[in-house]
Amino acid sequence: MLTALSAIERFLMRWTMRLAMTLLVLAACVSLWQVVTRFVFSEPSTWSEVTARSLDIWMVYLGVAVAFRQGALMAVEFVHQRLHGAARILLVAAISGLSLGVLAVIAWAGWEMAGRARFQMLAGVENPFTGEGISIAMVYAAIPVGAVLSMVGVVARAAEEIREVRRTGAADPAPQEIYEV
Amino acid sequence: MTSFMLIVMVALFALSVPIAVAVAAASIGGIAFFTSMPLIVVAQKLMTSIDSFPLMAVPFFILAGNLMEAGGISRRLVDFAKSIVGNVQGGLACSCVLTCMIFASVSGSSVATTFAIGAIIIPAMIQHNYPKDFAAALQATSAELGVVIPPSIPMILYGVSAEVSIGEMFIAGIGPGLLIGGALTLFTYVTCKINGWGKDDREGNLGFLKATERAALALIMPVIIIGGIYRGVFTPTEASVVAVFYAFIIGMFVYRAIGWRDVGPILRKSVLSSAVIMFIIAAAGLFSFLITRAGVPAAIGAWISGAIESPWLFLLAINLFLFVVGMFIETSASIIVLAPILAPVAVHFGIDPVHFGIIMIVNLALGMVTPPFGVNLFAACQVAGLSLEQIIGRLVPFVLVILACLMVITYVPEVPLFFRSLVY
Repeated sequence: MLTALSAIERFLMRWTMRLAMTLLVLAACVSLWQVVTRFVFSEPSTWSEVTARSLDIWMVYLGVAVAFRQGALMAVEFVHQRLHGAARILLVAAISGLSLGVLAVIAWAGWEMAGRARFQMLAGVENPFTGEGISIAMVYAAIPVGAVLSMVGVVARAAEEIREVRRTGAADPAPQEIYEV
Repeated sequence: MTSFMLIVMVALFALSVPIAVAVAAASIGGIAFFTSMPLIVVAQKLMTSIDSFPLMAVPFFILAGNLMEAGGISRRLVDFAKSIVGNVQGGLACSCVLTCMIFASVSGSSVATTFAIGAIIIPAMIQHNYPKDFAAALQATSAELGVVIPPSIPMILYGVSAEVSIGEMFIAGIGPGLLIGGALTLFTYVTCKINGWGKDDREGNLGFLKATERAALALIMPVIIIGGIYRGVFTPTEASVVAVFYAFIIGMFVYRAIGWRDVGPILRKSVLSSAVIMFIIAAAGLFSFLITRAGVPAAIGAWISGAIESPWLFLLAINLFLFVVGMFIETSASIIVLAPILAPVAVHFGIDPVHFGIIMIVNLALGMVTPPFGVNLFAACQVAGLSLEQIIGRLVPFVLVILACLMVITYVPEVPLFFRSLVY
């Protein structure tokens, strides 16, 4: 059961990351198109800015889910690094519980907001297939989707960390890579 | 409501709760317990705070920085710097500072600067018999220039949070960047003279013309980016997009240091870094909406101006406060959270918000070099193979040099504002 859950979680996170990476590339390409149309053709495209911003928002909220999973979110690690054993497990559980609560509120509010905004259209873009407008709800949806995926990430990360602490006392499965700028 | 939110936020920071979660939790608590607003405002602010064209420069500059770090331009820039300042005693150490200045003018991040330049210059300095701890301390400190010299991610964040022109912030960074670069070079040169380090630094340097030719494509980049922004041709966001594609093409097809295989990890790292920062911005947008609505910046302003009379003392107090904050909280996060609160107070004291932004950035970026949480320090130690304790002693004089520069920047507004007055 646990193995199956963890396999699903890994699959989910892998594809969330791939999607976010693709969105970053797309946002960059669309923004380049904007620069090209403005400087080379002197006729700035009308759809590219709002499209790039929307891609960016989706990229961020999907990326946040993986960041929760990797423990990559910035925090003041002072207390966390100095606790061992049961105290550490308690702290990890408390932080994860709080994160889950906050994410649940965000997911719910995002869902409600997307519902309310479904008849508002993004200015300047239309659906290339139907020629109709695109609803702002499509952009707002990034928030509940990202928040729910983040909740999966929080639980998986907490399980992994608690297992590590039980096994070694204090080891930190934190990424060695540095994500700060 | 405000004190509740501030206390909850700081308490959660202290308990190692991720910054974005702590800020969001404090805001949600504030809304639920003290206002009649519907919680739906949470989602609205989480979206509108990051739905901004200027902010898109952040992920793009992060991506460009990661591409440049991997793209083989750092070695060419080091050779170029060595051909200029490398022919004196201690020249290799001095070229560390100069290379960081040049790299800073294409990259907006000090961590990318540390890894890109440190990976080349620290081993070279060790080979030339410089003490390891000196090399690491010098690199960690010089990398601060990465966020002081434009383009700069923290300046974009300040510009957006404090509603100041990002272009003006960029230009105002030039003077302080030159000052800090000059001071570090001078200090390094004198230290090397006194200790007799780097006597054979002249050996193996390329001639100036040859080095310039090899680094030409990398050197054109700041001309495009900074020149484009100054002349008003590009917005910072457009410049960041151009930087992404320029770095990609040079690294992939000209210098051939990046392969298709490397693209995945570069994108992955960029997505994570961007998401982490943008999520804090989103949460801080909600937070600052609430406290601004409650009139907190004005109240803090009134309180501070009641307690402190002169702008001179205010700046001193702020610098002390930021120095302590910088030791514990990462530069970008502190700017996002503090700029909307402090910038109006500074304006209240008659301080130019651009000048104030530069003070915040120089000061908080120093936090990346000071323990216990100095990302640059970790990065430089990682490259040099040292532990944090081994480098502290060497670090102190470097930090003092930056602090001296910070005082000049704080009390001589012309240092940041001179170049701006030329352009705007």
